Amino acid sequence: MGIEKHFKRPNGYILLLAAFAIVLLVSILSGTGNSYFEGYLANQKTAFDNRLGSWWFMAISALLICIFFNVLVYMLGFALESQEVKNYAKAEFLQVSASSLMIFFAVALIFEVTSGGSPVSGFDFMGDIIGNGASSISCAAAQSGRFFIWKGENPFGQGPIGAFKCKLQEKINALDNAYEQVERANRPIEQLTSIVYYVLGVPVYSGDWDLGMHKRVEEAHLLSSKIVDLQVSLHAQFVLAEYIQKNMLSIFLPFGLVLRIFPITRGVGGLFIAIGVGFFFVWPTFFLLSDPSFVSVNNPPSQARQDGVCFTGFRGSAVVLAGVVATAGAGEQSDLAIAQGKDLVYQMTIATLFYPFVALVLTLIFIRAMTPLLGGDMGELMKMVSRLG
Amino acid sequence: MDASKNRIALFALLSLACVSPLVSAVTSFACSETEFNDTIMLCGIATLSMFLLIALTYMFGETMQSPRMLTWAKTEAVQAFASLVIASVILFALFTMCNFQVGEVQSVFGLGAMPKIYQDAPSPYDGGKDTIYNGAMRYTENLAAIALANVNSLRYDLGAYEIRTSYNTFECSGICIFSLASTSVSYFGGESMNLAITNNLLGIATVAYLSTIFQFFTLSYIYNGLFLIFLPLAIVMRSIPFMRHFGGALIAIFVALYLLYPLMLVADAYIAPGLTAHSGSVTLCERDARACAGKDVFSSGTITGITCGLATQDPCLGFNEWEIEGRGTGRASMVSLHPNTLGRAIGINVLIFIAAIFLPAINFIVIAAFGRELSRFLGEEADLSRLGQMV
Repeated sequence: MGIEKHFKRPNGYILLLAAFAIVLLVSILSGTGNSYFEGYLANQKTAFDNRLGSWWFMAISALLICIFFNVLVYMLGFALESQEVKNYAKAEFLQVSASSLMIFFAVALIFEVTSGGSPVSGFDFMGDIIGNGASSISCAAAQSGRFFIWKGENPFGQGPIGAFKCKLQEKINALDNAYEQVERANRPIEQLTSIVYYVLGVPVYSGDWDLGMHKRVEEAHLLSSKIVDLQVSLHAQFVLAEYIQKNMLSIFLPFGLVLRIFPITRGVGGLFIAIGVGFFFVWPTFFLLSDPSFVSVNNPPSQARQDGVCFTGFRGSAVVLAGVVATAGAGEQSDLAIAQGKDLVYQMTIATLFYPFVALVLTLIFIRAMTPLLGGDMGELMKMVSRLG
Repeated sequence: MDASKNRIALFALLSLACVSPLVSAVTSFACSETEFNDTIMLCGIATLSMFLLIALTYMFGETMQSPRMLTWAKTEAVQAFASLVIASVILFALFTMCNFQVGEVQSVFGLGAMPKIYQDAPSPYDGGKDTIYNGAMRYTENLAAIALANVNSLRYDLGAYEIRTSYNTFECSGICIFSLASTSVSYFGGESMNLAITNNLLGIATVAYLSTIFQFFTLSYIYNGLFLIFLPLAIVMRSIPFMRHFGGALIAIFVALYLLYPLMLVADAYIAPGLTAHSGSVTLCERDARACAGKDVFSSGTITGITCGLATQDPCLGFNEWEIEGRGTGRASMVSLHPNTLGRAIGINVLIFIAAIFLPAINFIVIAAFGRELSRFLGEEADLSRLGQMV
């Protein structure tokens, strides 16, 4: 009777099959270009496929265990004539179905899915916003002075997170140089301030009594402490970027998909999925957008251009201006004095704390919106962020 | 009437089906915890007592023709059955965790190279043969050791800078004895910048060490106190009708801390070596004659995160730091910070800080979210983050 009842509604099956067919065909229809963006996409897809392949059996096992458990619960509900238990089993079955769809179509959702002919996958979102051509960002730590997002460069890697790391390295190098300059400039002055002249055993003059020298020494000390604070923050951001680059798609997302299957781990699973997607796609994308030196270029270009000379329109002047901060490369000597160090520290404070913070806030908004949709628990993460704030 | 008998038979069958894994878990438990047997016994006594109480109530209900007692007995039978399932699942999970090895984590989750602390663990645990519990403890011990080595190294530098910057010469040249005119100079006064920075870094290193050592003792408590006290208490509470919700919350806390926390630490052990890519191989100067114990926590098959520089070798400057004018062979300079440049010095501190504070914070988020979900599932919502705040 039940089967007959279901077969009276074939439209649902047709729609479902059509959806499956569309998703499967997308991978066949998708183009195989040779741009850096597509190369990056292919690399990420291969890595994700490989990683998901090792998780595949675990995911299938989890699904089967959960379905088996649901059947047992349903049987128990039937045995005890409890409508509540039966409803719970049915609801859980729907949740498991949703999880299995997410798992089976994870690759498509991230890499290939389209809607109405236009691509809407995670990477397409990045490509659309950042530009899938020779998009670049000013970065003194890169060999050519600009970091090309999709081409990438060692040791930063490819993609927006690679660009973020390059920008961090640029600031780290600049501050390292600034510290060395300030320290070198301060050393003889501080030595001078330590000289004391005595006559008849009574100090008659001390270098520290010279207010000009005293001020310079104190400024140098203040600058060095500020530089250390910034360096700690920059290095921490670098390690976290490394963490995000390596773990979001390969650990958080697959692990979240598996955890989402079980009722008691659904909250964590949803949170993991949202964090994985948010920090891999949304955070670096918005970081790039908030950086004034970012230039977006789409494929195919309107005319042939050389790498690094694609500044068109008014934005080019912003890029040139923004690049001024990062003139000191790694190990490069300059005549950076204490006064110049102050300017550098001021600019670096904004660049180190403000831009990533804006991107972080937007990412948390995204995660906050996404987590409940995935059945996740947002409370703990928000509590942690508010405490950090 | 027949339907009622069938339902009772089915219920009995399901109860037996759930008891069987409990029995098998009892017989094959391999964690060699003698206290575990007491827990199992207590669990069995609580379950049997509960079923006995239900049976008695049901009999009284039948005898006294009291629908209220009959309903109560039926409801409690379902709850007792649920308690049995929960206890079975927990015991099964414990059994699995006691047999699951850290090397298997790599193959099951498809992770990269095995961390060196597991690969080169003392025999018979080498090659990833530690259980999850041993693995978590080994990681925490190593992290605490390298954090302490870092503190020692910084403390040494701080001491050297303190002595050098406080060194003052009283220069009495020519006829100063007769003229009573002289000069005093602090030749290393300019190093006070490095002194302040080393002080700053020592603060960060100390916080990281405190966090690691806190985790070490927390883990020790989880392995001993929590297992001995909370689990039996939780199971008994879960079996008592009016304490069921409280028991459920305790079980959630137990599961989150005893099962999930060690697993998360092992996951951190796999993640930690990957964090070092940006800094390459950083040299930490050995200052405590322990060969930078724990440095392998940031190394795996292909990555060497931290190398240990002996105190008498470059770039650790040997003992030249102390060769200040008039006390040694010359006015040696100590221009380099620990281990050699500012960037490196900060890099190594941040690396340890992230492993000691950021990753455990992520662990706590996961544990709190999982514990809350589980406690909600078991009947009582336990706000673990608030409990953590209280602690």
